[in-house]
Amino acid sequence: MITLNIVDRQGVSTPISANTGVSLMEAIRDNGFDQLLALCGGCCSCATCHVYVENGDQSGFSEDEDDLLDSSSHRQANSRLSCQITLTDGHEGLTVKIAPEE
Amino acid sequence: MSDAATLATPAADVPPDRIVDFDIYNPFHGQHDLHVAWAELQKSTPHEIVWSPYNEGHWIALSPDLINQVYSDATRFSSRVVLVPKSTAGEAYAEFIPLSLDPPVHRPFRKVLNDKLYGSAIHPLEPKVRKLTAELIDGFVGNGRCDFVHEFAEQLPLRMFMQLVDLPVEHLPKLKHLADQFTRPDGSITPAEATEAFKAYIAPILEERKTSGGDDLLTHIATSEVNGKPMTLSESARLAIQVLVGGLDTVVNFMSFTMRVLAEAPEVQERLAANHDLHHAAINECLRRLPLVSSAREVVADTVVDGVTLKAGDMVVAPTELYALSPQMNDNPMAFDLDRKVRNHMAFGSGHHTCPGQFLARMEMKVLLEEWFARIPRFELEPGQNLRHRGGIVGGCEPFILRWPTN
Repeated sequence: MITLNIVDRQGVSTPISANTGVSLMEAIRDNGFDQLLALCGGCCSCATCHVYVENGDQSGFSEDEDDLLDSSSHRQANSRLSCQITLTDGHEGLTVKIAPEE
Repeated sequence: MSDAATLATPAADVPPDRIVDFDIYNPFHGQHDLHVAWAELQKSTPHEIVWSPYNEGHWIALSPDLINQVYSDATRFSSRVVLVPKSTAGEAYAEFIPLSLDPPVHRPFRKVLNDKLYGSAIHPLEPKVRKLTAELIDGFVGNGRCDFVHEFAEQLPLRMFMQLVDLPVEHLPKLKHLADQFTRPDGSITPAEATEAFKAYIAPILEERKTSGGDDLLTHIATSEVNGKPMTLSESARLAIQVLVGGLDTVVNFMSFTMRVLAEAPEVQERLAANHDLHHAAINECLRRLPLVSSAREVVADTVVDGVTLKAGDMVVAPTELYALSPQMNDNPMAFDLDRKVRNHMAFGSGHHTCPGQFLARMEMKVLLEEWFARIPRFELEPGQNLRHRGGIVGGCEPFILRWPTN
């Protein structure tokens, strides 16, 4: 288990515990953050699990993800689709902010 | 809809206790609620998958895990054919792009739609949606009542959609009739004839839009490249028809389901009228409680699921209704609960074919709730009505009357 800090759209930061080996999207969703819609279930098709990651993690970044993030009006340098990040021990303590709704 | 004379015969190895009397086009068995009909089917059997003799015979996935697999595992469940009956509606629909394509061929075609339907691309439409929503409600608010389906749900999303594709609103009845032949056929023409009529309609429009310089969705389809080269007219027509079929039904029905549920929940109305911040949760809860699509996939190769063998070419219907209404996915699933902490649903599908219109649909729902509650904070179903849902690939509501106090 690792600990992540999730910052919701109201700016409230909440620590959550997450298993490694699952996606960041699943960890956030399963902790009850319904602002993160993740409508396609995690196959990089819907762009509704958009987050900002504090450390700018680029692991698993693909051209498809790049295209989908381009459709957002809220893209930043540290934007990621959280379904595309697989959690590892290296993510311990990471702060992740849920991007504004489209 | 099928009758007894057209029931299919099960393959010899389908166990008798897997066979259910359930026609997805008429699933009601004497009651009138689509979601109750699906929930009752799930409760009636311990199995994860059952077989229905209606609509040429097909499997129905009942467990949330299997429903999810059917939509998201394209290696086992192909979207070459997504409708039952397979030989008619299914094969006619199988020409359409991108839904009939599996990965990786699917992705570049899908991107053409995403360009115009995702995130920032639909923001410019919101003021238009708001203006039309306000005009429609202002048109009937003084009457103290409205036929919500006819006077609102069939007006707003369809008129906005016609703006998105820049087609004249006068073409709507013809296009809606053709689109309905796939999801809720009335027998007036065959699905294959509907496909041909769609092609005859759309091909000259796409030709003209190659050079018209507009920024509507059909112009984008007519001028987009896929894999580095222009689409053929056949490809662009099949993509455009998919957009027309997909855009002309679902939001109409979702708005109708939503307002019927809210009409019967005065305590929810009170909260939504007092606090617009709750509208987000309300929309999510409606998506969870009122999913309405039961699409299908074609089995790629013989595979064993839950102890039975599905054969290559068999069809599997996967009801999104049952994903969200299963007790494993949501506690007390039939309850409408604005305060749920976790909501699991796949109202927009799952996997590579997740509804590309989801952003437009959500935006229209948001605007509807805001403009409606600003004008009509309390409303109810007029007593004495016959309230009925409709089955089909896309479920719906028969028209109903809402009423409210006027000053």
